[in-house]
Order: sequence, then C-alpha cells, then structure tokens
Amino acid sequence: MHPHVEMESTRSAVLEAGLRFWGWEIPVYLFLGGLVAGLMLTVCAVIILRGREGVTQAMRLGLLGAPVLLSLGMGALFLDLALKLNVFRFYLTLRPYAPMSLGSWVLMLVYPVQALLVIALPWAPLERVMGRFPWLAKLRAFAQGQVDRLAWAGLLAGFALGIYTGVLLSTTVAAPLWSSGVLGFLFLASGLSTGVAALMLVEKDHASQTLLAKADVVLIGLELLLLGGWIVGLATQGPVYREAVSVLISGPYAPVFIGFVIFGGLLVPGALETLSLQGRAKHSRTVPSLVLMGGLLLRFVVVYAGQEVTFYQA
Amino acid sequence: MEDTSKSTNLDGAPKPHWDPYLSGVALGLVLLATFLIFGRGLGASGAITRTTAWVTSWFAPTWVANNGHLGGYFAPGAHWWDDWLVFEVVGVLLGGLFGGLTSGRMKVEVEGGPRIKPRTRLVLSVVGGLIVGFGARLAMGCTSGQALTGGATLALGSWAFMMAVFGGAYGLSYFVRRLWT
Repeated sequence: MHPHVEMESTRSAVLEAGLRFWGWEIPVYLFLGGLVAGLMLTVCAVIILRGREGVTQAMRLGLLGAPVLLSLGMGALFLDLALKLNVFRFYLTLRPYAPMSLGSWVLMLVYPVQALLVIALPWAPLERVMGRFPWLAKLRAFAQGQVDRLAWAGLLAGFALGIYTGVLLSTTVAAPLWSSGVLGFLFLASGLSTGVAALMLVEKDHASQTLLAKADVVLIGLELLLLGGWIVGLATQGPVYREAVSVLISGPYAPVFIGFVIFGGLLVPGALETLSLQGRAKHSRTVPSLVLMGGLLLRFVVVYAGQEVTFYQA
Repeated sequence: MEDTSKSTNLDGAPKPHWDPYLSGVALGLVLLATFLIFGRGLGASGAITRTTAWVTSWFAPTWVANNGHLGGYFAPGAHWWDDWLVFEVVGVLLGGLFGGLTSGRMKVEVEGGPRIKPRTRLVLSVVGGLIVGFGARLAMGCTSGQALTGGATLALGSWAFMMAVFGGAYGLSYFVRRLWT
C-alpha cells in the first residue's frame, strides 16, 4: 500500500507481486449486487408492462428483501477495504470515469428507489404502520403518485447496478480474463437470471410462476451466448489471454466452471424449466436454487480464476 | 378443441420405474464409460471423505494437514474438487432431480415400514449411515467403489466385500425385520 493513498481495496498491496488479492468478499458482493439488480429490474419491468396490479406478493417480498441483500453485499465489500474508516470518502467526491466512485453512487441511488417502491405498492402489514406515522402516509401518497416514474428509475438503477458488477472487474487492468467488455453484460444477464430465480423460489401465483420461468429460460440462453462470446473473444486476442482462458477451460477451475456453473447452474435448470413449461416435468423450487448456486459460483470462479494469470506475471 | 400437447399427467400417478434389468445394463455402460473417459470407475464414499476433509479443514486446518488419512487431499495447489468422484456425486443428485421431476415422483417424504415413525426412521438411517461410512473407509471403498467398480475388474477383494455386504445384510435383517413390516 502506498503511504499517500487514503482509500483502496486490499488488492493494491499485492497487485504487483502477482498474488491473489481478492478473497470471498468480492464474489459474494458481486453476486448479491447482481441479485438485487435482477430483483429490481424484474419488479420494475412488471410495473411498467402490467401495472402495479401485476406485482404479486412474492415480488413485493423480493423488493422488500432487496435492500437487506444489498446491505449484506456492501458489508462484504466493506470487509475487503483496507482502510475501513475511510469508507465515507467515497461519498465526498464523484468521478464519473472511475467505476468504484460511480458504483458507490449507484448503490446509494438504489436504496431510496427501493424504499419508495415498497411503500407505494399495496401491502397489508404496511397499512397498520401507516396510521401511526403520518409523515410516512404523506411520503406514501407522494410515492403512489410517482409509481411509473419510480419504476423507470428502478429500471435504470437496476441496469446500472447489474452492469456495474461486471464493469468493476473489466476495468481492473490486472487480469486478462477480466479484460472484456462482455463481462458487464454477462453479469447483468446472470444477475437478472438470479433475481428471477429468487422470485420463483417464493412465487405462489401459477401465472406469474410461468411468466418467470419463461423469462429465466430466455435469460439462461442469453447468459450461455454471452459466456461463449466472452471466452471466444478472449481466446482470440493473444497468448496471455489464451493462458488466462485455459485456467477456466482446461485448468484448475475447469471442473467447477464446466461442471457446476455451465452444466449444473445453467444447462440442467434451463432444461428442467423448459420441460416444466411444456408440462413434461413438475415445477420445483430446487430448479431456481440451482440457478442461484450457478450465479454465485460464476462470480467465485471468474474472480478466483482471473487472479491466476495477471499481466504482471506475463 | 383437441389437446395435441405432448404433456403427461404429472399431477396423477407417477410414471413407472425403469425396468431393473435394463437399468442394470445402463449402469454397466455408465461404468464402462467412466473407465474409458476418466480411467477409473464409480465411487461415492470417496467424495464424501474429500468433502469431510475440506469442511473440517476450515475449522482445524493443522489437524487435517497432519492427519494421515485426510491430509493427502491438501497437497500444495490442490483443490477440494480435484477428483471426478465429487462431480459424479453432484451429477447423481442432479440426475435424481431430473428423473424425479420428469416422472412426477418429486415430493418430500420419509420412506419406511408402516409401524415406524419418521423420526425413528431418520435416526436409524443416520446411525446406519455412520456405520456404513466407517465400514466403507475400512474397506477402502463402498458398494460403488468396491462392489461395482472392483467387481467389474474381477478383483478378489471386491467380490469378498460384496459377499460380506449381502451376507451381513441378510444376517442383520432378521433382527430388524419389524421395522419394515
């Protein structure tokens, strides 16, 4: 760590030595960030396309759980900071071209949008609280008048958050495996898929369950295409990139990447959801659980495997 | 309008199980494929041992590293998953899920005899599983690793293991028969 630097991640001290600099905290944060982005995008898309009446109890629950999940993710990110007391400095400046600075502000934008959407949508337990807090009732009246605008803001914030989780890696210049513009879209698609899967876990309404399953099948297909594009794009760039990709395709992380992420986390749940939509397999909550497991492992594999080959070593 | 979809009535009676003889042939072909692709056969308890060593290493890394039985899994640069058996066991779970969902058999239940309570059944299963696990490690393999894989290579020890398993099961079943009737 350089003595004049006041705010940095733990990676800085070991970056030049070519050692692993990110542990479990970053993949967990990236997973939870993507999951929250997926929840927001899904619920906001439903509000825009089907109106607030289209939002089911499970979606409301997802919206309510989103800030909790995001806070857990930010907690993991906080643990990764080398100088924890300086965290407030993220919010003393805004640098539009610095991903971490921009991401910090996106995270701050997500909370109020989620909170306003939660109180704007009809929800029985909230009705009881309203009577006790008149200011909350006023805020609710305001939010209810702005539901469409809030949904669009949520869509924008969810998109920014989802894509940021991948951009954070792709702008970290140390690793050739992460040096791809596809990573942002891959993590966005994966985050959307895990958000939809999380809703499928709690959804009881049959029509919504079918809608979510259809969306997830499309997202899994998109994710597979983006994974292919990311790998092929890197493999055709040069020897260092090929070496980085080989860690994932034939190296130490290949069994987990191919076995658990692609097969267990995408192909199997994708096939089961397709069969379930055709009426040839029963719907089960185990299937979205596999999608969530695959999404988490994807982040772990990408973050860990990316640190195996760096430009500094090459 | 006539329903022309290929859907089956998964809410009704579950589909019948596969023919046991055909299933046996299919399992034999799977075993053959594992020899051809991985150079070794099937196994199950090895994956459990590896996972046990991995999880234990989170809490007692020094003890695991110094343990003669478990320490070998943690050579420098080695990973928990550096054994195809880990993937085989996960594949068994995924395959079971696939089969259960597509045949209408996916449900939460505790199978047992008519006179036994689920809790007793679960306790006895755990006790039985512990004994089997201990025995499998003593024998350096379980019914998959020893009986199936070793038996297929005509290893004498594996055939002795298989006879002992069946003999032991028949001998013990007399004493526990009321649990199932």
